[in-house]
Amino acid sequence: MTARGPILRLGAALAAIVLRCAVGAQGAAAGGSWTNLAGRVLKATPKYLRGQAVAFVRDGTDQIVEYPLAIFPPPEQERLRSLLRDTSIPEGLQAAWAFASQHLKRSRLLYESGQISAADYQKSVEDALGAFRFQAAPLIEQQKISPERLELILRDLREGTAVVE
Amino acid sequence: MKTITRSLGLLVWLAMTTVHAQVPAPLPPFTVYGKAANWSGRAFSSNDAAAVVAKINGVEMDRCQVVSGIYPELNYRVHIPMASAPTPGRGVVGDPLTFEVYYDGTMHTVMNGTSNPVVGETATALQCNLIVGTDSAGDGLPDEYKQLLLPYYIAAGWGTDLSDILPEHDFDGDDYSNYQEFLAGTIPVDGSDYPRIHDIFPAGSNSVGVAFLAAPGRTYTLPRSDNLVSNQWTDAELSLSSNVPPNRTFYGSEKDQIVTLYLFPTNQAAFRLDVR
Repeated sequence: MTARGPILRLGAALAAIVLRCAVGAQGAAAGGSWTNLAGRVLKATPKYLRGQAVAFVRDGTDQIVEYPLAIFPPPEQERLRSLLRDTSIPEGLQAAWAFASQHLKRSRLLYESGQISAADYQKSVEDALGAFRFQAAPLIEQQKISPERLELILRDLREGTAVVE
Repeated sequence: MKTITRSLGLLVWLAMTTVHAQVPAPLPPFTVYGKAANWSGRAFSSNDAAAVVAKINGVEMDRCQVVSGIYPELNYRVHIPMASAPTPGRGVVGDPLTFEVYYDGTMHTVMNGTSNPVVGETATALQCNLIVGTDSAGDGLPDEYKQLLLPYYIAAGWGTDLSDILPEHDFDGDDYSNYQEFLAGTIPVDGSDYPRIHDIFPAGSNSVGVAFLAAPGRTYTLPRSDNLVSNQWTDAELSLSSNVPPNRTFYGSEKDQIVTLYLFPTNQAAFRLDVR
């Protein structure tokens, strides 16, 4: 019992360190420096997106400030969107999204009404998501959408919860 | 001096008379009506707050709000003011007509149809269905729609370019062509989705339910024929409930949904499902 005490304590201490590292990593990812198109650096933590604006809490304050996303370079905009788990559909993908969304909805209705099998439904889902991924590929190359944001959109499409920007 | 003044007065009167005579009398308008739809073939509904603008040589002649649910294949109607001779703001027989559709805060061009509409005789009307988009092949299928089918064509080895996508193709092998599925609002790259009746069942003592998967912006009718040999069909009276007497001949769907329409046949007849 006494021999296991230090081991348990060491284990607990290690777990605490791991936990702190994990929390620390999350905090570092959420905060940071953000350089706008004019080259000015904002040290702040992004909190949420509202329309085409992003809200930050400036480092060392609890004040929320909003800036238009457009003041940041496209890669920085995508970094913010990914960080805030934005799943809005970028311009250039809305038609593809609407088509995939309709395809999935109709397949779901056919499946739920017993008109098609589970295998047919799964095939429709994979086909629709594959086609959407294909349409998104050029936008990823142009850095208009990040791979992370695309995966979130695909997840929402699969679940039927995506929203159009 | 008096003579000169009288002559000038006569000239002015003559000039006024001449000018007056050159203004053609307004005539009853020429009417254009039909269905305005987006690039996926979905007819605009009243909820879209869309407007159709009719132009002659780039000059606006009339515009109207899109209103749905009045009659199948009809959600807009514009009146072209007419004159017997070329007059600003008025059309004459043979003038080429162009259309634009305003929605989502933007004016959209309408793709050229298979025929180019022109102004007809005064007090007559022309049905003209409008589809927003670009039709570079002139085959009736918008480029924007073909773009959505392209990944499927590439994956299946059917082609690599929009020109490889033809309206008459039955890509998904469900016996309906790309163009028919475009019109019906079904998915032309999914063989399990095509226009069809899913279920027919007795409902109550004197009605029959007809179920199908409807698409947004499409209108459905159930034509009936009492004699298939004569092949004469008329739209059957129908209802949205087995408890409500038939009160309509068509149903306009605003979304993708399973719809059941109820018929109240009093004698033996054949029915079919039509989608527009």
